[in-house]
Amino acid sequence: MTLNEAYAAYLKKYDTPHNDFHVNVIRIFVGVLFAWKVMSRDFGFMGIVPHEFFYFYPIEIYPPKGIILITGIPILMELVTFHWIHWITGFPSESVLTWLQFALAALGILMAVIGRGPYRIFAIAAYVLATYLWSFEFLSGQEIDSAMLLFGMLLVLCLCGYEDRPVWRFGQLIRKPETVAAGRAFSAILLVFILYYGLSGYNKVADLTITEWFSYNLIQDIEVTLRRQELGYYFGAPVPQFFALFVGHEWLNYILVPMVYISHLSIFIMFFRRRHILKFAAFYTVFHFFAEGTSISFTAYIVIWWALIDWRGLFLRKVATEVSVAAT
Amino acid sequence: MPQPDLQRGFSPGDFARELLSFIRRFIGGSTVPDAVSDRIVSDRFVSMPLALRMLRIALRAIPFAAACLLLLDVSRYTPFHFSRPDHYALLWVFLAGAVVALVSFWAPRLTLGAFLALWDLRIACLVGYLLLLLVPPLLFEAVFLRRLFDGILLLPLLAAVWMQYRRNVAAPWLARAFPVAFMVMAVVPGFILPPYYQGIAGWTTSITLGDTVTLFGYQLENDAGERIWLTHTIFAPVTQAGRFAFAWESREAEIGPIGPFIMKAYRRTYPWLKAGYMPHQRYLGQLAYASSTYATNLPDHSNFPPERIVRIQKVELTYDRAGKVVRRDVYGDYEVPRP
Repeated sequence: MTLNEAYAAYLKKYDTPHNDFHVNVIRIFVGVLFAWKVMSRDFGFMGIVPHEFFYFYPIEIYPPKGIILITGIPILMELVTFHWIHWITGFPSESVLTWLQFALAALGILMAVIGRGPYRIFAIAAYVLATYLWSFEFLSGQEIDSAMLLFGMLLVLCLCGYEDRPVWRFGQLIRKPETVAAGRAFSAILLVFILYYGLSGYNKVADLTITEWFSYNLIQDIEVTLRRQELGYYFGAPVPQFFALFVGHEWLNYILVPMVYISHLSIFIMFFRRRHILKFAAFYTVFHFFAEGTSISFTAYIVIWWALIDWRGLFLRKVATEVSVAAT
Repeated sequence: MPQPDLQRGFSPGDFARELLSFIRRFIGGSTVPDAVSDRIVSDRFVSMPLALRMLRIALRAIPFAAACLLLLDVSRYTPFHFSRPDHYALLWVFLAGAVVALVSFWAPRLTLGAFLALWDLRIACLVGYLLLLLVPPLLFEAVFLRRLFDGILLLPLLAAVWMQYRRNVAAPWLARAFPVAFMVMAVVPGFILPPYYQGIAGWTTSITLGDTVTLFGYQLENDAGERIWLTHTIFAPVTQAGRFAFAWESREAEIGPIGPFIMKAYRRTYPWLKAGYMPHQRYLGQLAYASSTYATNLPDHSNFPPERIVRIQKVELTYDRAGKVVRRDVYGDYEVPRP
């Protein structure tokens, strides 16, 4: 196989027809998750922060020997985060930011229930507003918030031309034949996952030696987190009783951690062999849940993986079962 | 290219220009007729596929990247200072890279053959090439160096996907853009353009479980001498523990100490804290999406109204196995002014 042929196979797979129903379900997941997440933050807080606090240069977060973020150049960051608007309008007040937060929640719900709106205006406005608001986090020392996948999926929904329907017209999509447009949207959504996890896999190759793959003390990390939690510390793990079951089983470090790295590197399989999506969803649910044992929350990613399951297939199977039961 | 004026002599400026010109031609090939360096002219590969050019550029850039980093390392005016093992590794990479680059320079057929093997995507060749990515982590301690040299090795693949992007114009642009985006984000060490970044970094933890455990953060003290931990969610939407305070401290010279600001934020959020909700739970209560660092153990704040807070301290507490504080180190102290 030549590189040209490999690329042609990739393009062909990208055009695999898919059902619009599923892409609409993904839209609901994304809209609801954005609404939920934004209402679980307090962006009004940023209105009391002195303007000089921004813009934190993210390379300063980590020691030079560790993680690096060299393209976090303040002016570039302001441009891509839509914070350049402050050059014109000045800095927003606490109440304006709170209103924007509510506006994003409303857009998320509108997008989930009605669809992307005329000219995809709800989706595009949600993307711009979400980027603007979340960038207050990105520009003040927190470069992650389990949000990259959601942003990528929302961007795909802004850019792709599948058939959008409000929730009360979903019935029309159930029996509709699969289309290339929906297939392209679904492929692009899969590629968002591949971009994120595939790059994470590349980072494991670039940042670590192979022996270091086996030196992450996950179980000990969980144990220390639980000990601190018992002492009344302000952060810890959800369901500590569950994670306590693993304390003392350090041998799991040598299996679980490399398994995660290998899954990152093999995530590409999911694009070409889509029947494996369910397996990856189950694996990553477990992985992200385990990460919560060290106090890192990945709840959005746990939820969003399940948006990739073929919901129409499940629904049709259920209907077929009911019909056959009724017939007998 | 203008020739140096031999009558006038060969100034340091001329030397620098010559050196830069040579580096440019050595790395990128030359299309400029030059009587002195016929070989370089004959080695022009502008008409060759972009990926091949990038492969050569990648090969020839390695010694120059190593040399530049060595210069930065020894210079006291730059923030780049690597460890002694990295210093020697850079030196070795420079020497080995120079040899490989010279081979690619003197024997272009060799690199052409390597490229064609890669281009045909013979699995063994591709895997063999990708296995090279394992070498920089073995050589260097600093992650920056590991990623930089791995990024250089990925340049030909970036060129390959870019060529495909240009060639397959009939295909959807989004489909063509993803591989390019992937390669750009992989090649540029430390890529971040919010909300997108290079994925989860690779890091390790080496935890030795001892008889003691330490807890670090801010504590509030009231007028009765009682103390509680300050929840990191007070800085929500920044809900990753330690990040906001760290960012503030980096700006302290311009915006003052963090203590007064903590009090300002605390006064704002106290009504919710008193009611048993953390700031990120302001609107949805217990149904709120979790904070980025999972928040637990919100203490009873009823004895800690803002007007009773007398002190904020940044502390590290060391507990023994029995849960008793055996040591209390104070790293910052802010006395709240009384009204």
